[in-house]
Amino acid sequence: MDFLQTFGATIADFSRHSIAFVSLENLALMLGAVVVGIVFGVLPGLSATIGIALFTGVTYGMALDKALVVLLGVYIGAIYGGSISAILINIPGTGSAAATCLDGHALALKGEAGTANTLARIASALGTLFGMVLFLFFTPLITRIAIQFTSPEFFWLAIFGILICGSMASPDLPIKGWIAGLLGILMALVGQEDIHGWERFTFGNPNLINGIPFVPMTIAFFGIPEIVKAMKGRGLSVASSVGVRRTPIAPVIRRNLLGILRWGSIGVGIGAVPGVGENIAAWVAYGDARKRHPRGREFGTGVYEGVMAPETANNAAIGGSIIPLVSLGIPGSPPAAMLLAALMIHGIRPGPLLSMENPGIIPQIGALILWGSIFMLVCGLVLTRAMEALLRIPQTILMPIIGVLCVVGVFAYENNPFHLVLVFGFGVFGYFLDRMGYPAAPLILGLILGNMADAFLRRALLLSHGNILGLINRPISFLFFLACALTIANQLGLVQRIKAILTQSRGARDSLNR
Amino acid sequence: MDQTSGTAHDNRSDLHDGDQATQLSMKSLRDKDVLFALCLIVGSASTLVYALHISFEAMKAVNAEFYTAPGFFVLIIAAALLILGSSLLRTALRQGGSLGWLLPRRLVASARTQAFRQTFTAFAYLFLYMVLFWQPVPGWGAPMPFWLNTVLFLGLMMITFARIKPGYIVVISVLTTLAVDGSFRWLLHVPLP
Repeated sequence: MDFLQTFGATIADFSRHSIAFVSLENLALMLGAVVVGIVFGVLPGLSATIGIALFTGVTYGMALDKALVVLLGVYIGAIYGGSISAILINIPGTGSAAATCLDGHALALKGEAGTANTLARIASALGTLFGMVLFLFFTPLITRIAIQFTSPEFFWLAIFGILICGSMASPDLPIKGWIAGLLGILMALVGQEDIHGWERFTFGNPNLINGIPFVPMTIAFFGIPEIVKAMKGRGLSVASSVGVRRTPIAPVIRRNLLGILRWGSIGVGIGAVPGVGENIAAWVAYGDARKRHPRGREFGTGVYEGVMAPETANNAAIGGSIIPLVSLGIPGSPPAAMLLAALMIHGIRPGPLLSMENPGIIPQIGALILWGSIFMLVCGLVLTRAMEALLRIPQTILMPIIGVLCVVGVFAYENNPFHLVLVFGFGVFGYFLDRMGYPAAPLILGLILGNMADAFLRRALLLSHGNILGLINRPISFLFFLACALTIANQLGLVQRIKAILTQSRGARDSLNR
Repeated sequence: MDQTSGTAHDNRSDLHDGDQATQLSMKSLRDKDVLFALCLIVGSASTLVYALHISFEAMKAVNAEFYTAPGFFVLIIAAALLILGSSLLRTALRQGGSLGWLLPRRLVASARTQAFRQTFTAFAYLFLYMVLFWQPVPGWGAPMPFWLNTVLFLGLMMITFARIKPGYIVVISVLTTLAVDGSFRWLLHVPLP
């Protein structure tokens, strides 16, 4: 009952913020941000994470509410924008649109690119709105639970986030994801530590006392490798977005309303898992749509639901990924990790205390998501033709320009030339890691959560006088520990081995009984 | 009939070529994994020693317990990396990885490939662009102005990698520089060099 009252108050605040948003400055900022986001989403190699990372530096001098308008606008625009290139050139503009390629491009080849684009746009908007509703509903609930968290819970949560992200993000061996996550943690430990003020890995360099900053590192690990890879790329063949055939959209949406709710729930659920994000959500929703569809076998040949499912889920994951960010201080996806960094730059520490320190922030974020999805719908409609033209520009022309933006973005962040040294050094490292199949997402998550894990682990041990059982003697911390252990066991194949042994022993017992 | 079998044969040979290509790239990946795993083992072992060193120093200097010392978590992470590095080395060796590609003859051969040259050039241009943001140009005594540095960087990148007319390169470089300089300096009030 008490909780329903809180939810009612949140909705009332949300309505107030949604109306208060309407000012010329806010509307212009949101419009610009969504357009930039769509451009970042459309261009293969760029992503929501790079877009937010670049604009975090730019919004450094802005007030927090304006910075949030820009960053959320870029986030929403970019996640949708990926679908345009997926449909038109069969190359996902962002990782989250990879599943959209399968049926989206097949529809384009059948002359239904216009229909596919409209479906993707509407599904993205509905997904974003669904994610927003669940964000408003669940964040206060999770915050209430999280307020009871102590050091062990936060330590295990950080470790779980890095482990699960490492397991799911690695394109090659799962341990490569974990190695990337641990390298990220090690990088986070550079600088003066919290408990004793001791300097670690600074080697006498005063620039490293405050640690390695995550905004330049995001550009180093996500931006620089893509720029260098694109220089070796080839031209793309672009399908026309208009197409020949037009199918009425309303009946397709109507018959998939339940599906949209299901894919939206998948998006929010997976988006809320620390570090996993939109990419996985899109694939899981695509798999679900294919399994349940009466013509599931035809998926990949141009089925409307094959476009709608991933687009609903990846946009719903935006709301999902912000739930743990706001309530626990753990980002649900790499772009959400950049949002975390941006909030911290503005002196806001996300976590259970956030809604007490900044009571209006949850409904405010909800209102921004609402306006972002409205602008995305309008801009998507107006800009598809322009994006088609943008896709015809060779990457060898576009990427040097992005290179300039990356360098200027890093420099603008704190006007510190040392950050450029870091970006170049780690950019080279990131390029080779990428070539060897090490994902950047767990590394960045490790960089963000590393210090938190360190401080909470040592505080927990301090409180339990060094007794390691103090890390697992509370129900929630034990559950998180169990989740970490199961993730490791599952990746090492231990779960499968135990299952096989159990099946064998059951078989042997049955044959003995006979 | 002949045509059908011809197509099937082509498909089979395509598949075979594809398999071979995948195997080759997997072999190359595992070769690199061997080197990376060895670096990881050496690096994490050094980090382990460093973690113990700072922990003992802090225990003496600030009377910290071992489990609250600044090197405690570093030690755990370094140990985990050591285990994962060893596991990666074992997997890479089992799947055919080796260090044969580090022989000078093979390194020189791979350095002569177009892909290597392109990668190296792109990084070199980026490096020069970043360095000229704050380092004085030899013989000039001051860092290069932002607009000149950017025009040169864009021009060089496009001359090297893009196949377009020189006139377009000049126009794109100048317009981009004006747009970036204008929007950052005047619109967003971000100071540029």
